[in-house]
Amino acid sequence: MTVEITNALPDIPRIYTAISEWLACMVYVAVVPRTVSLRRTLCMGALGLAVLIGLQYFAGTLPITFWILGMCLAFAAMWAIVRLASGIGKRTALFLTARAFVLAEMVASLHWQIDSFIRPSSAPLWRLQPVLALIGIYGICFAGAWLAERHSFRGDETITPTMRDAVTTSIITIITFAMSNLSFVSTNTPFSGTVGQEVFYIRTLVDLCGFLILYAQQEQIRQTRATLELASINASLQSQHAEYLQSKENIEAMGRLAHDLKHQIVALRAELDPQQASAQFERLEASVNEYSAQQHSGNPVLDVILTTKTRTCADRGITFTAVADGKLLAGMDSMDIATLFGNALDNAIEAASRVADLERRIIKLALFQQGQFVVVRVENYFEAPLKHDAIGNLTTTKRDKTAHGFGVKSIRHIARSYGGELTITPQNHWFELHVLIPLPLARIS
Amino acid sequence: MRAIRIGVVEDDPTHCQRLLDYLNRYQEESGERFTVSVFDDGAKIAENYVPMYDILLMDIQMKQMDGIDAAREIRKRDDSVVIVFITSAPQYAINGYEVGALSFLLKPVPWFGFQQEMARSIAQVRRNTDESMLVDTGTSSLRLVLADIVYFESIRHTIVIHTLSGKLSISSSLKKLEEQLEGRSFFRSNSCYLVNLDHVTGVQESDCVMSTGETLRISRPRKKEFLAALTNHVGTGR
Repeated sequence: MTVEITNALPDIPRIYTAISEWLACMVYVAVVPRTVSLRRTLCMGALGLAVLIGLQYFAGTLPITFWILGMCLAFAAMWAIVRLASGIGKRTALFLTARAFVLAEMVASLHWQIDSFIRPSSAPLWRLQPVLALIGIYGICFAGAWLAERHSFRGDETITPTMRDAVTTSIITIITFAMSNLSFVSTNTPFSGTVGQEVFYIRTLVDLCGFLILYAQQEQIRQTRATLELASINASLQSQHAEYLQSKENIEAMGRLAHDLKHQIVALRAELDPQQASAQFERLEASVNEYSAQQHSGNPVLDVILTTKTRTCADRGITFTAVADGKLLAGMDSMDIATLFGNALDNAIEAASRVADLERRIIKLALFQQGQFVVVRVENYFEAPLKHDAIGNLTTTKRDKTAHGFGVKSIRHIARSYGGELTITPQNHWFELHVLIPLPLARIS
Repeated sequence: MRAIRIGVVEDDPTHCQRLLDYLNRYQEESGERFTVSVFDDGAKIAENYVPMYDILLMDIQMKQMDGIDAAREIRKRDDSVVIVFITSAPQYAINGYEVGALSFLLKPVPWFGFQQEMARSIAQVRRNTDESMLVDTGTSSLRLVLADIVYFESIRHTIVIHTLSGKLSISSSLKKLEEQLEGRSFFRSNSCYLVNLDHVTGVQESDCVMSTGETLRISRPRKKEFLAALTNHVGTGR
């Protein structure tokens, strides 16, 4: 592939390319959360290095017309390494490999450019100085890339990129690669360099631009996602609060109604023959009592939510039992209480409603103190299979993925804003949601 | 495995009979063995209560002494018995947390709900029974009850076991202990601590507060994982 270059500088040795490709893969394996054991990552990493070196030498034996094929093979191998060593999904792996590929090209090119500048072309490759230069330049570049990308990919979960993001990434990568290597294919284009050093410089620069564009793209994806998520969490906060206000009004109205009814009964009873009507009226009174029966947990906001959800559950044939020390929530914002319990119970009700056997539609709620912690536990029996994403996180089983699945997120958001945490354990058909918040309850962020 | 001792406290004979039938059915289906005692009022079990039961199935509305009051009396003498309230009025049971009863059954009790609650209560009884580990102090071997261990501390090549009754040094490593105690309530909060989550009573910024009042540093990268493990542990605990 160096045929067209005027002063025919030798191009990057195959082994360097392989090392660079491998290191780039490892950078991305290191920045995404692993879902496979460390041992597997290490084994796959070691195996990957051997495969990449092997492939590079194999590609070296192919005629120059198969050069593109060689690059495609290397890319495929990198994709397999990233995927197998980290356990992420296919599309995410493609997304990362594209970045790794451009990064590898850039670092290898930069190093070779510097190397061919400081080392006389006749000097051997494997002396102390050039090897030190290799280690130094690769080390600094990949460490830098790791630091930069760690920031972009950090978080508990790698979110699978959308098809559009994956396509954009692929296009950027292909263009970067094509433009950076144009001079090696033909010097006779408006975008080609003709002098060796110049050709190397063009390649490094184009690769750098490609890498920066990909970095900026990831940054933008992250921003968009965060904004969307926040908007959804806020919308869910608002809707739970609105529902709370509505319920509060309804319940108050119901209370007044019950109160009035009681007075009417008293009046009626005075008029009629007490002996005969007594039994009937008692029954009437009991039913009114039942209607006015409200949960008294010790927190007015929680009472409203429990009362509302108890009615919803009754309508859907769900047995809902709650043990709750509402006084524990004294330091919590009423909107947060409404959102936390509202969402947790809505999710449970949604899942329990799908259970066919009415006897098995069960939801249990517990709010209690343990040590210096407030503990919330909401459990429901379920039958529908849960869906997990590529790395084992629960995802919504509802159709509209963008609108749902934020219930749990907003609960976690609230728990964390009070310095607490949320966990979910589905086991033996019981879906358990736990929230733990350190006392005294106070917002920390 | 020994039989599980169950107290049924219920004043309505029909409901009581239903519970006894369910207990028999549960024994047949699960292979568990029960020893059942029946009381027809809260006062009868609370008076001269002996902490010998594993599980109490307790009605709330009873004539002389209601279930909540009886449970309160019982709790003065027995921390570990699992109390399951059975009531027709959920608003009475909402305060169950006062006596450590975190769920209850609604009358008329359906078989499925009963079975699930029993399974959970039995699991809790089994957890309560003291698990222990053998440690080699160099001169002798000792049996330590896991519940008494507050945390393990690694100081150079020795491990100091902090128990409720004092300290003990052994030569081992936290890594080994961590493996040995896998699936128990222990969590590695720091390069030198393996703490018993049962004894964590609070978290203050980057420290966890132990039941003994000691505060132990949680390493920054483990903080999130620590909180998650604790949340899970405390949430599933009772």
